[in-house]
Formats: sequence, C-alpha cells, structure tokens
Amino acid sequence: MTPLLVPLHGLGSRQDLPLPLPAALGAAVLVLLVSFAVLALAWRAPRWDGVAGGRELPGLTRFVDARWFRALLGALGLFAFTWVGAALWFGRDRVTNPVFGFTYVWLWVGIVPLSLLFGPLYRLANPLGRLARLLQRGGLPTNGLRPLSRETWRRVGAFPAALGLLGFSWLELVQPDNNTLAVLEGWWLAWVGAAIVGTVLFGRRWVAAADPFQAYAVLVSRASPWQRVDGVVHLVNPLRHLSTARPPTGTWAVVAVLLGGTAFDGFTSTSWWVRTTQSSGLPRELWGTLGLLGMVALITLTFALGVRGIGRLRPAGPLNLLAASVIPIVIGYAVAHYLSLLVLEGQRTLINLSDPLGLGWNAFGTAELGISPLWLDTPVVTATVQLLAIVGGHVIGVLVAHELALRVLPVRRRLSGQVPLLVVMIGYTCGGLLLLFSP
Amino acid sequence: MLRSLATLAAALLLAGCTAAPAAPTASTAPTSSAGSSAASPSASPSEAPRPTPPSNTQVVEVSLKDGKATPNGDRLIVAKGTILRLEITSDHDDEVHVHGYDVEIPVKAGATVTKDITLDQVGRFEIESHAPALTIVQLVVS
Repeated sequence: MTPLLVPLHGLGSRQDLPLPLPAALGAAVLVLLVSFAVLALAWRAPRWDGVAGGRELPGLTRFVDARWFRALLGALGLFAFTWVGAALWFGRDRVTNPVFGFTYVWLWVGIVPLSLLFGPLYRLANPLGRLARLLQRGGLPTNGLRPLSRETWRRVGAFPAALGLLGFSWLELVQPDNNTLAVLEGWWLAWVGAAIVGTVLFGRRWVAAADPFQAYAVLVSRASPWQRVDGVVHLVNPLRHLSTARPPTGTWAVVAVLLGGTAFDGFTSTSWWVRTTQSSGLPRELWGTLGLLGMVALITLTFALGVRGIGRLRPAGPLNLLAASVIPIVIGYAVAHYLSLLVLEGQRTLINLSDPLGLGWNAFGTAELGISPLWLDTPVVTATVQLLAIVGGHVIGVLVAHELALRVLPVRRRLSGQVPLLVVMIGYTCGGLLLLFSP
Repeated sequence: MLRSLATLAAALLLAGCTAAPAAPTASTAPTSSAGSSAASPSASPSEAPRPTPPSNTQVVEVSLKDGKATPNGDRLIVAKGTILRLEITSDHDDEVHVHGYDVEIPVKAGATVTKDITLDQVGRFEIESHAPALTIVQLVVS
C-alpha cells in the first residue's frame, strides 16, 4: 500500500441538483393522467398478446452471427478486462487507477445505455463466457460435474444473478473503502471464482444464469428495439419487445434488487439519512446493509401487493410476467441517478485508461484530454433529463403492465384488477422524484 | 370505483409530495453561518477571526471531535461564484475532502485550518472527513 492518504471516494463526487418541487409534482400528475387515459380509453384489448414481431432483418442477423463479429467482440471484452485487470493487480492504489471508473461507471452504468441501444452485446463480450468455453475445451463436460435437470434450470432462472447484483450493490453502496485496490481485488476474485466454480459444477449455462453484469445487460436489452424472433433479429417496437419477451423465473427479484439499489443510493444522500446514521453509535456498514436490504424488500413487497390484483402469486405467475413492466422504471431510475456520473466520471475513466499502471503512459492518446461537462453545467437541463427519465420510465412501465394485464385478466376485471399496480407505480414515481430532491 | 381510487391516489400523491420536502428546512443551515439562502450568501454574523472575507464569502465552521462532525451532513445551498471559507478544528489528524473540486485539506490535531474555495462548478458535492469517514456538509452550488 502507498503510505500516502488515499481519497476514500473519488467517484461520483459530483451529483445532480435537486429538481424543483413544482416540476416533480407536475411530472407525477402527468404520469397519472397518461396512464389513466391509456387504461380507460385507448387500449382495450391486448395488442400483441404475447406474439413477438416486427421488421425482419436477415442481413443484420448474418452480420451479428458471423464468426468474425463474435470473435471481435469477444477479443474486445477480453482485452478490456485484461487491461483493467492489470491496473487492478499492478497499478497504483489511487483514484486515478482506471479500474475504479471502469467497474463502477463504464461497466455498471454504461451497460444500461449500451444494452438499450444495441441489445445484449455484452453477452458476446463477456470474458466469463469465454472462460466457460475454455474450461469445456479443457475437457469439462458441457453440463458440468453435477448436471441439473431442465426443470431445475427453469426454477433457478435468474435468481443467482439477482444475488450477484445484490452483492455488487452492496459493494458499490455499503462496502467501506470500495475505492481501494485490496477491496476491489477481493470482489473481482469472488466474481471470477463464482463463475469458475459454477461452470465446473453446473456447466455452461451457469454464466447466463448467474453473472450479474450479463443478467443486467440482458434485462435492459428487453427494452431495446432489437429482438430475436425464431432466431432472426427483428427491428421491433420496444413496448412490444418488453411485453412479448419471456422473462426467466426470478426476473422479479432482479428488478427489485436493481430498483431497490438505486433508490437506496438516492436515500443515502438525504440529510436525514446522513444525520441519523452518523449520530447513532451503530457502524455505518450495519446501517447500509439494513438500508439496502430494506429498500429491496420494500420494492418486492409493494410490487407483490400491486400484482395481487392481477393474479395469484406463484413463482412463474404474474409476479414474473409483470416484472417486465418494471424494466423501463429501472432504466429510468438509472438514467436519472447516474447519467451525469457516466458523462463526467466516464470521461475521467477514459483519460485514466491510458495510464493503467500509473507510469505516465498515454497508450490511447487520451491521457491529456480534459473533461467536458457537456450539458451538465446547466442545472435546469440536468433536472429536465432526470424528470423525463423518471416519468418516461413509469409511463412505459404502465403501458407494458396494461398490455400484460389484459392478457391474463378476465374481461370484467380488466381495469379494476390493474388499479393496485397502478397505485404502486404512482408511488414509485413519487418516491423516485422525492429521492432526487433528497430532502 | 376506478375514479374514486384515482382521486384518492392523486390526493395521497399530492399530500406526500408536498409534505416531504418541507422536512429539510430545519437542517439546511449549517450551525456556523447565517443561512443557506442562495440569494444572500454573504451575510455571515460569525465573529470573523481572520481578515474580513470578501462580501460573497460563505463561512462554515467545521468541528471534528470524538469521532463526530459538526455540521452533521447538513445541506448548504449557495450561488455559483461564492467563495466557501472552511474553518476546520479537529481533535485528531485528519483530512477534509471537498468532492468534485477535489480539494484535500490536511488537518492537524488541535489546530484550526482555514481554506477558501471558489465555487465555480454547479452541482451537489459532499464535504467529508476521512478518519472516520463522515459527511460534514452536502454542498449544493446552483
């Protein structure tokens, strides 16, 4: 370790200004009006009824399925993770080490716009998938040493990934000294180790079921305009994509962790939280752990209550089906909370990546670049973007929930059955806006 | 039934949204200086121990004692261009970090350190101590 004092939190230091209250109120009311108008008048029968479709793109399909394209993305992913891995193990324990920005900003935040715009490309670049294939080439059976039945895989679904995402949220929001190399090294080892052990035991499906970043990418990509239908990539309406993609079991847990984590992040910057936790004699990590788990539990509970109007709560039932309607809300929260972080710290990371070991390199020619604040110097623009992200995410969420509910609700309860979920979503909107105020 | 529920939800929503942000008023003003009004950041009644600061200076007295910070995570709202004067007293060696501006102020046990920072970037920034890690002030520059 360097004897010099290492700044604890160099990242995410610049946060957004709170929204003005009237704007937030207006936004919440807008969500109300739009959702009710849509519910009651314009959308009386399921529009797609679970059938995916759009404009067929065989040329693009051949392109993204081409061996060279997959090899290129795989090599890119491998190169990126090797580069920052070198920074992690051999770089200096400073905030200028690019591994911090890469992990907390490029990967964790950048995966959202990447997957929303281009679909689940991360899956092709994920070095863990490559590692799993390597293990198989080394003689490991495809289904691992303890193969699971198809039924078990169905039941396991995305639950391991939800647990992994909870772990990452804990690292990001609670773990003390998470901007030091020793701590991050431990988490990287755990991340790679879990992938190896899981693949050895259960085979190549493990990474898709358990890797938190891949699961996040795949989740967000369900709101993208690219969807595979019978193996062919289609250009689709994102609403249709969301309401026809079949979410694996446990998707509800994934969205609850993501939404709860972001909400908790906003909650911890309220003066109330800071004052209360700092004045109490209890350790910070205990408060943080309880707060994070509490927020995830609150989201799960409210969502389950909202969905009860639509059907009995069975694991494969509406809880999971309707989790798709929370995906746009997760995206909206992520944009509202982290877009400025991505823009500012993302640029700083690009600069730092040129010199991973702190030796004065300028490997990509970015070391001398400055950080441009772009639109972030104008608080009103930032506030408007946040507002649109929260409101837009919820409007899309309400539309998707409506389409899905129409599919499963009996005719006479088509509207009344949705009211609880609508009220919950209005609550999420209000809560989301209040967190951006951080009183 | 649908309509009445909607009205109820709207009423709850309005009540919830208007009630909650009222809460922070008690906490916005740091203990040291006059107010956190963005309009008049200058008024600083505290007996200035140093040379009289320029008129647009906001003085914040920070005390780090027994593992606690004063102010304790309060919010300070100031206009862009204000000069922030931190007067830090501590009972141990520490370091105060103004995020975003990336200013690090070393603090010696028993001594008072004064540091002026020109607030030329808008945004929300945390002012923190490092041993232990405590949020002293949430600085909002607009």
